[in-house]
Amino acid sequence: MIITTVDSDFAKQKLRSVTKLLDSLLAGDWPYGDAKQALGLLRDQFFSELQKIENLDPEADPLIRSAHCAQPRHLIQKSKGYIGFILRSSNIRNAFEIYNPIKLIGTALFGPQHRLIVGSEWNYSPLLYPLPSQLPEDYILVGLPASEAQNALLVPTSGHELGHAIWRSTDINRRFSGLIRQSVINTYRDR
Amino acid sequence: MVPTVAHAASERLALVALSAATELDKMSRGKPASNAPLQEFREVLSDFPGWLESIHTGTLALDPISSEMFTAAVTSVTKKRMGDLADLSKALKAIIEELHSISNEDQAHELGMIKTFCLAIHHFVMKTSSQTGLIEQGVFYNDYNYS
Repeated sequence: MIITTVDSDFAKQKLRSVTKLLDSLLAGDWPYGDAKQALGLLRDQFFSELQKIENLDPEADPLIRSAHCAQPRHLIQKSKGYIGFILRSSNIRNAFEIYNPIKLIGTALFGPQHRLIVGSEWNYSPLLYPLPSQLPEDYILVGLPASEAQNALLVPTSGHELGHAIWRSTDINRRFSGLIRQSVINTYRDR
Repeated sequence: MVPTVAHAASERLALVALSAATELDKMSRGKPASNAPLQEFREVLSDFPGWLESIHTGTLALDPISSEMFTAAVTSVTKKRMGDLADLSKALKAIIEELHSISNEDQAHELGMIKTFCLAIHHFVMKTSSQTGLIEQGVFYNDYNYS
């Protein structure tokens, strides 16, 4: 048995485990569709990677086989944090009552096609997650501090985080950074 | 936010590069292969942020990680050290031209060259963002700074 065969077996084993785990999570209750849909997309990608390895030509270059085995390990490593976040978004500790108002603001800002996931964080800091390459660009992932779940000010904070999403999805940074920098320099020079 | 965008683009490029390499491997062994992954690789490579417009002028504009990635990929094909961005632009231009003209009838050498280029891109992205985790951590820390 050559190393790539063992590698391939391990990769398939890992992919089957992750797919099974995600299937069981998807079978649970989800407070809103966007989170469940994101998890479903991730599940489909793992399944697709499994199929790719299973359909590999037995005579394929060992380097190709080895790369196909590295890909799912990479995907699992990359996705586990997001899977955890998406799962946490369904936890009853979240302030679900703020989801719809934030979603409405998101629809006004990004259009009806956007997908919003609001989850809890144990960092004492709200944040907008960098969008993983595994999810489409219309996803917005907002993390809010779990310790402040009862604080009404989480609502405006979420609005602030949506602002980061605008910053990320438009060319505002390029348009305004130079102007702001020049204005600051001019202000100092004028004094 | 630029590192996030560049990183996501690299991930996508790595994925399609592996699919393209898989089909090129089949072609080089005379097996039936699909051209679709190769076409997708061409398209994703063309859309890679901030470089296509500069490659023809010899003034390649890439962020440091992407520059390292393409240098590693080109070096794996040419086996020559890239002295500067002009060298890298020239070598990349030659590989991209070869990539656009490739067909099932090509010799194993040409197919193997592009396959090596594709695998090197995939390998670089795996190495930098999976094993060390440094890139991903950097992106997260970057966003915490903006929160």
